[in-house]
Amino acid sequence: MQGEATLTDEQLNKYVEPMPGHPKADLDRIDSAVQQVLDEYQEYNTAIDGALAEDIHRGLDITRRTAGDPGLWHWLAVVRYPDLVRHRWEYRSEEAMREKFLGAGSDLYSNAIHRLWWIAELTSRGDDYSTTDAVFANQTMVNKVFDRWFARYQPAVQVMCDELEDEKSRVIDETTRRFNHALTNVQLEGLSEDEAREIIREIVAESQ
Amino acid sequence: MTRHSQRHRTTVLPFSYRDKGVDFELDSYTVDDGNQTALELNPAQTEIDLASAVSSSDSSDDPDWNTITLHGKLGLSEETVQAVFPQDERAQPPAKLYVTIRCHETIYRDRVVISEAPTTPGEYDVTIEVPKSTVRGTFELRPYLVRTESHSGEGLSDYADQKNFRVASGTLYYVVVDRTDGEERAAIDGERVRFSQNAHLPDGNKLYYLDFRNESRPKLWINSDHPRIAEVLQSRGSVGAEARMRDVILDQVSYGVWIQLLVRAGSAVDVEGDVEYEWQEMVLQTFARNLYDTSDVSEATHRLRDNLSDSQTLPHVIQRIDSELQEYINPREQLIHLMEEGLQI
Repeated sequence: MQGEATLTDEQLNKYVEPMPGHPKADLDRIDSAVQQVLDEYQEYNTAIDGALAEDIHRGLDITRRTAGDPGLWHWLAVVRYPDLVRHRWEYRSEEAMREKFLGAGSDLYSNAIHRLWWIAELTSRGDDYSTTDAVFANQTMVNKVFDRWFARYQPAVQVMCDELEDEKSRVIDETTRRFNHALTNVQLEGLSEDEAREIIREIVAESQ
Repeated sequence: MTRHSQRHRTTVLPFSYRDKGVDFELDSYTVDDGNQTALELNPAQTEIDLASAVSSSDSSDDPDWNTITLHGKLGLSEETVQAVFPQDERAQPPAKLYVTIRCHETIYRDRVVISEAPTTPGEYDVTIEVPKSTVRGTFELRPYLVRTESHSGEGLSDYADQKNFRVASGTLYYVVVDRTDGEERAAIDGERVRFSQNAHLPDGNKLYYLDFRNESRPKLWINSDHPRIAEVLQSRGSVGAEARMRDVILDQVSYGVWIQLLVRAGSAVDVEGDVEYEWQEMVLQTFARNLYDTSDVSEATHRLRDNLSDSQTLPHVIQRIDSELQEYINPREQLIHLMEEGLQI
């Protein structure tokens, strides 16, 4: 996980297998976006996330079912874009770096590429990625919203991101914590987008 | 037990809540446009295994289906309505009834509305369509009765009074649509049963019992005389208090189980260093080398056998086993998760 090593196709091939369902991807588009980021952004710059998320989401034409296959993200991080993972994430520990290459599953924070696709999946509305862009422009929002379990319910996460877009870190922290607490009594999946907005606006106002 | 569970719930939530207040029964399923097939579930069975029904003939490919439709009934009793709504709302309860769909692997949460407000006592037909694109592995279905209006007034302190507050829920079903190769068969069997009603199982308040009557295949019995514990052990989620508690209980059970398996397997090693059964081999392969800090499994199993049979060395090897199991199980990690959950850190 630390230092440089080159894995040959021969070494890798025994671990690589076709994806079930034959999902499609525009890897040229992602290649080009990744190359641009490597050329234009300093190492470990968090702005890399926002610069890539839309291209990764658009480039991978997959369902949530396919995205739930950890093998896809392992291949993208280890085989296709290892330089990107290293460019974005500084080596701090074996465990942390292992997670960026070999994480996946329901933890939105693990694999370096998986998290970009999922956050775009949860925040985009058709072709509109403005909420995705807003989220990645504010790392507090990425940390505080997507670390919470309510972020898996799309109407709630989209409203939360809309309402917190221009707020200070303290308000984001307080609002996500209080909304999570409110879900002790409120049943999350019963909320329409309007109802979620009403509750979240009230909490934002109290948190300011 | 249901009554006990509900009393517990009422003390946790600041209003009357019925954890099992909605009867939920799934009775059949359809795959795409196929025939409706009956689900033959045991009375307490909450896991529905559809993996074989939808599996692909070519195991390397994605199963060949688009939508699974589950059919069943939701029942809302007069008793539940009276328990969770104040007098003036009981004739026309301002509540909706829906079933949530959650899938951890696909980061998915949604719901299917069964009844909009008012939801009066009675039986409701349930049809839940689940597209393949949204799920993977196991997904969960659970019904909720939720308020649709806020209510203010005197004497409401015993009842939920805010819009969208949950007031009742029902059975949580786990529907399995994919099984991975590694899930085929565990090394030992496990089963939940009431010890008090089975003469071959120990008396008293035992939590579990490892049964060696069939030495070739030990069996772990979990005592369902303690239904709250058995219920938590059956939970399948990865977040929340139940999941955290389950992991700690499992650590506790597994510690006791591993000690027994390891001592039994170590004692069964013959002079050639061999054992008779597959589970013994598995246990020794897993632990023996670490116990003696050697890469030679044969040397380690011989030493384990000798140490277990000698009263001089027995206390020391038990201490080694204890130390190794604490490393292997790592109970500290799950305990911290539970503490964080409990303390809302």
